[in-house]
Amino acid sequence: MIQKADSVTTPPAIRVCCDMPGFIADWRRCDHLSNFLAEALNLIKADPFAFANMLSTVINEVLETIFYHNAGRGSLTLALSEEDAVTVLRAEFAVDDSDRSLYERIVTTLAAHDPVALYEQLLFQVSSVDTRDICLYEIAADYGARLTLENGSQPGLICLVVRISLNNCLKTEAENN
Amino acid sequence: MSAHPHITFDEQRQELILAGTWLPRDSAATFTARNIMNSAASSVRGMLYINCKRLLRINSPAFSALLDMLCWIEENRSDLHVKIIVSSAIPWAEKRFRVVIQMLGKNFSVEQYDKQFYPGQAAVEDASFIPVLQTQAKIIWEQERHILPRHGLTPQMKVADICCGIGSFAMQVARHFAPKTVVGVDHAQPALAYARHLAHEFCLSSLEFIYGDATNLLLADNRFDFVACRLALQIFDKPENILRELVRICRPGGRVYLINETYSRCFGYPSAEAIAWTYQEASGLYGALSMDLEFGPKMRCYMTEAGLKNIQVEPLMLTSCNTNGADFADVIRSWEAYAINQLAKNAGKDEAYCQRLREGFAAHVRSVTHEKGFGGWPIWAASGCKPG
Ligand SMILES: C[S@@+](CC[C@H](N)C(=O)[O-])C[C@H]1O[C@@H](n2cnc3c(N)ncnc32)[C@H](O)[C@@H]1O
Repeated sequence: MIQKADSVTTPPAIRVCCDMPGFIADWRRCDHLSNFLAEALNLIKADPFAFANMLSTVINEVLETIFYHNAGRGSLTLALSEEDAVTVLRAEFAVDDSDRSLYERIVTTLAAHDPVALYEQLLFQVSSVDTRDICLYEIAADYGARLTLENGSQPGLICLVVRISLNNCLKTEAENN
Repeated sequence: MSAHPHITFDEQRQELILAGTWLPRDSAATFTARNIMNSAASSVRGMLYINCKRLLRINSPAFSALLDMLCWIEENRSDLHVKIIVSSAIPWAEKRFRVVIQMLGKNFSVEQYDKQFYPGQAAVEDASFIPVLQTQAKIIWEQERHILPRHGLTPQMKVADICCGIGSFAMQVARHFAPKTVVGVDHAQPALAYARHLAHEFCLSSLEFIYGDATNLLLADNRFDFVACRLALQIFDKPENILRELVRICRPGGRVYLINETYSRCFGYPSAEAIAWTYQEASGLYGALSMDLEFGPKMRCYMTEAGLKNIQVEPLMLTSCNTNGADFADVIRSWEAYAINQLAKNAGKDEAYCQRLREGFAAHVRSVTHEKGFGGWPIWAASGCKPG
């Protein structure tokens, strides 16, 4: 399921690199980093509050997943950019085999099924699903995020790529109908 | 039961209030929250409200705790209805709740409380209101700029303009008072789009325009030195709810500044009677939408009750002597168009009535443009200090 990295990649608007043991030492770093990234990108937006609120919600779900499923070593590199009207988060980090297969499974399953139906099914399988694994399904179902995996820049790393159209998310219900 | 930073239960209103950024690390960290929610779910009768108007962010463990409560209610309390109240200013909320609510039964619903939340909203948030605000802004500022220092506005302040409309005041403050920042908030998307467009065009970078509800601001306590709210308490049916928020976001020692009208007292000579009739009627047409365009003199009372001190009130009288006559006439024509095309039509008034309204507006235009005439528009400016 791992795809080749795009041959022409738009340079990231913001890139943050931190050491993974440092990141997982404190739960609140998920919140701090997601806020920081969202606010930095949204300085240029028409309604910075709404964009940052939406984007930090999505990034936080991704970071919480990484917080729980990583090899506990190496570094975490986050790159946030805009490609056409789509916001793209690339998260690169080291994983063990079991975590790699978890990400692969999530991405493959999401690609093959309706994300909303999948998410609902998981959500109502009371207690059999760990809430920590549901985050990525949630952002796909609720906000239309598209997830893919790319090879990392070095062996042993993976790059989780999340694409989301914030403009669509911020449209009102009436505009969407 | 222990207190929780993000969840409180208001027993009297049968309302669970969720607020702030609630990001528990895991399910175990939602223990206290679950206790509060469970005791609410088992004790209420008829209807349980879940108020998420100020729930800024939430993560999966928190959402799952909430969902467990909803599922418990579905299984065990078929007598209970649940209404989840979200704000359109917090974009994720409606989407996230909507998906799960569809799975739960008909006893569960999600409502964006601010879709239709005050009687005059549709009229004011319509793009047709923009020309009225544009023409007014120009003539008010010429008088208002001189009184602002008396109400405490000085350079390097953090300024908020709540119910900013098309942002004209925020932009003028940015140009003339060298503020650190100016944040404008309004609930009318067309007006905000216009405000952002102008701020961008004029390269005014210390400005930010945010969509939101003035009665539930998502801005932190004590954040601003000067909090303005102009010509807005008079159009919202519960002005005290906006005022409470203005005071909350103002820092102790800072000032809350308001302007409001006595619209029925617009005056002019000649044809004073025709003018008086028209404005009395027009004020009544706004009144039918629960707007109180006579709010000006009531400000002192409301501000005192809101806990403000050292309250100053003064007239901000626009007349044909202190204001350019042609600009004043444009304002009156914009009022006329709005009163006839929007208000009188909606109120089902007949042509004779509209004609009489027009005559009064036309007489007012004459009074402010003719060299021997005299006309005016009474506005009142007030400010009060938030005690330290
Ligand atoms: C008469 S206009 C005045 C606009 C601006 N302050 C000015 O002086 O030009 C009133 C504004 O208040 C806004 N408004 C009324 N109630 C509001 C609320 N609860 N939250 C946010 N905005 C509100 C309306 O959308 C409208 O733009």
